[in-house]
Amino acid sequence: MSEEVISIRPADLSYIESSLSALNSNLTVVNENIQVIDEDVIKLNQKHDLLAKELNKLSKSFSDYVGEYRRKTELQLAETQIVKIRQELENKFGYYAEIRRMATGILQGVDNRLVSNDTLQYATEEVVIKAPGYWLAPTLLSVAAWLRDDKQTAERAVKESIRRDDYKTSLFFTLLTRRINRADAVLRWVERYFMHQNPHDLDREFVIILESVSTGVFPPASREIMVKHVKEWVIELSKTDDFIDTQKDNWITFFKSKRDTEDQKQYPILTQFATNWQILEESLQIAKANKTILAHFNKIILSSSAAHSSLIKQLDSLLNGLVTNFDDEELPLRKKERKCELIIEKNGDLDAALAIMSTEEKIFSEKVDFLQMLTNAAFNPEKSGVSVATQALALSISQPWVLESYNTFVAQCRSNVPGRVEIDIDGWVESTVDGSEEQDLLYKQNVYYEKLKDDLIAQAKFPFNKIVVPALLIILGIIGVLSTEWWLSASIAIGGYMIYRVWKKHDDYKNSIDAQVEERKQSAAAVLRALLIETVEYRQELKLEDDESESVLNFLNNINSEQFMSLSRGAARSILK
Amino acid sequence: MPRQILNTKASIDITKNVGTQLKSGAAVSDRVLLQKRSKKYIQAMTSLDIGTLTATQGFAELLEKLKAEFGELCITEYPLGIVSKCYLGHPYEVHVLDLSGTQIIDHYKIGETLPGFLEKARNLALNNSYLMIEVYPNKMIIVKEDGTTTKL
Repeated sequence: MSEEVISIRPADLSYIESSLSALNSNLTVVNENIQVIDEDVIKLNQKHDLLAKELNKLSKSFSDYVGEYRRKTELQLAETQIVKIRQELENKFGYYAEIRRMATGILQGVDNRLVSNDTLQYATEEVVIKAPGYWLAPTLLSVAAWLRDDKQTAERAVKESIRRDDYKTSLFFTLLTRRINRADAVLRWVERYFMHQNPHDLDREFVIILESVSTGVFPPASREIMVKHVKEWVIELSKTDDFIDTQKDNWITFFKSKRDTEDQKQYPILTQFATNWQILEESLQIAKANKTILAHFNKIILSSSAAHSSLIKQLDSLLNGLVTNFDDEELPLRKKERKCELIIEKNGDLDAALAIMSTEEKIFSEKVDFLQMLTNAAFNPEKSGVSVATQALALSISQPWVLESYNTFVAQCRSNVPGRVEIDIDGWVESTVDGSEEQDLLYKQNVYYEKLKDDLIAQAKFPFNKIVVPALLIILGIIGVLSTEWWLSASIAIGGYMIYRVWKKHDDYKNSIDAQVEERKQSAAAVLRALLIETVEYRQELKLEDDESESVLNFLNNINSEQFMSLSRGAARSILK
Repeated sequence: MPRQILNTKASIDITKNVGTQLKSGAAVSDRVLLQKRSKKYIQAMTSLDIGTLTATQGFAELLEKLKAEFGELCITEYPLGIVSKCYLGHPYEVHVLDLSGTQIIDHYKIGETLPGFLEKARNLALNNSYLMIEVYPNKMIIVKEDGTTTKL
């Protein structure tokens, strides 16, 4: 057994060490490389942002280009289309324009009698041949025949005209006969015109006729025709709830808008101490609307009717319009033409052109039912194109449901008035109905403050921690006395004195609470009294304003349509004529 | 727009008297309910305080008068209850003719709340201008002394 000498030597780690340092340097290199890559990535990111911006720019300019291209195409299209449409209009309805020009001339001829009857006859007969189906042609022929006293032809022509377009013929002759003052004829044509009207769907021009009849531009007998028809329409429209209810809602909104909007500053205490003051104030403000409403209605009735000359001009322009405006058959083509015109105007911007077109359509095709028209006229005569006289007439026709709406408005107002005024003074919460329970409330308030006082005093506990020391002193003194250390008896006095001081301070504190609460109670009581007085005044004022509603009801109960017919000056003039 | 005046026998075609045509569950037209109340009805209602109604017979008469007033309507369209001011004196405030189920007349004092659907009529009933409030499922009809009605 040979002993092997195992020699322990420190391990030779140099290989590992060198490998480690090689690794280290490699890592460093890797790190540097990563940094380089990092920088590259940042550079790439920047490039990427730039590219994105460039791309945005490109897409924007592309969409701009597309938009521009589209506009140009639309413009070109519109320009070519408008030429085509105008051509088509000329082909199909070209003669209509000629007839219209002729009609204006003939009407002038009726006025000044410069053209001979033969020429008129020839011209109108030619027109009838050239424009088959157009209502204006036989109308003109009948006018010409009438001028030369050819009754038979005139009658036949009128029949033909009616056959082609009853409505327009009726309106034309209504206006014409009025213009030349043929009383009987006007009546017949007015009757026919009214029979044509559909109360669910009235044209805007109807308002002008209504206005004229009510202000006496038409002969007085026509007023009766109008009243008769109007009454029938109202009955018809009020059979179902819908139309009436819409109008009633309109009127209720109108009444609500007449409320007083100013703060009711005459109730400062209520403003500050009544928790439901907002509703109270609102109720008062709405109640004040009654006076304003009465004034508004009175103004309508008492204003004099407008001068007639503008109205006559309007009627004449209506007549001219009938004659010169295009007719229904041309409508689709005219619409297309208008669209092209707008596109050209807007330089190819299709959307803007369409937007304008839709608003234009709305303006001109606005049709309302009769009740809505009355309400519009009663609320805002200028916008509806009527005078104050027609406003008064509209009001009187609407009277039944205006009365109902007003009653509803008043009932709503009354049901919203709070029954109690909620009070909050200094944390004490109570309520009063009308300020009459003063004694009761003062007593309750007193109780509240007494309780407050008791609570506060109960909270102010006697500071026992402060008398620990003096108590000890006293004990010390007693011990001293007992063990005949007489000098220690002084500590009894000191201790006693200290206890006395603490007790006095506590007592003062309690008294001060007493005084403070008493002061609060006094000022609160003063506030309460003032508040109750204000409540009484408030209820009184509310009642006064509420009673105004009786005057309005009286007024509304006493207006009726017949009264309005006679109010217009026109009636006086026509009778005198 | 012009309408034909020559060859139609009835120029306007509307359904006849939509108001009282009863569809299942549809509320009765307001126009029917807003008609003025007759004097007899008003008298019958105001006599509720005077106590001239005996337990059964007077009440039956009252119901008769109600039926006469609301003749066109069927029983489901009658008011649920009628609230009006009570003149028996303090502390009584309002009385109620409850038609929904129990069909009794009740007098309520200040502070006592009315059955749920009638409470909203209380404030209005206390107002001196209104004689009584007829409460329906979805509206209230306020009746004044002269019989004129308002819908709320």
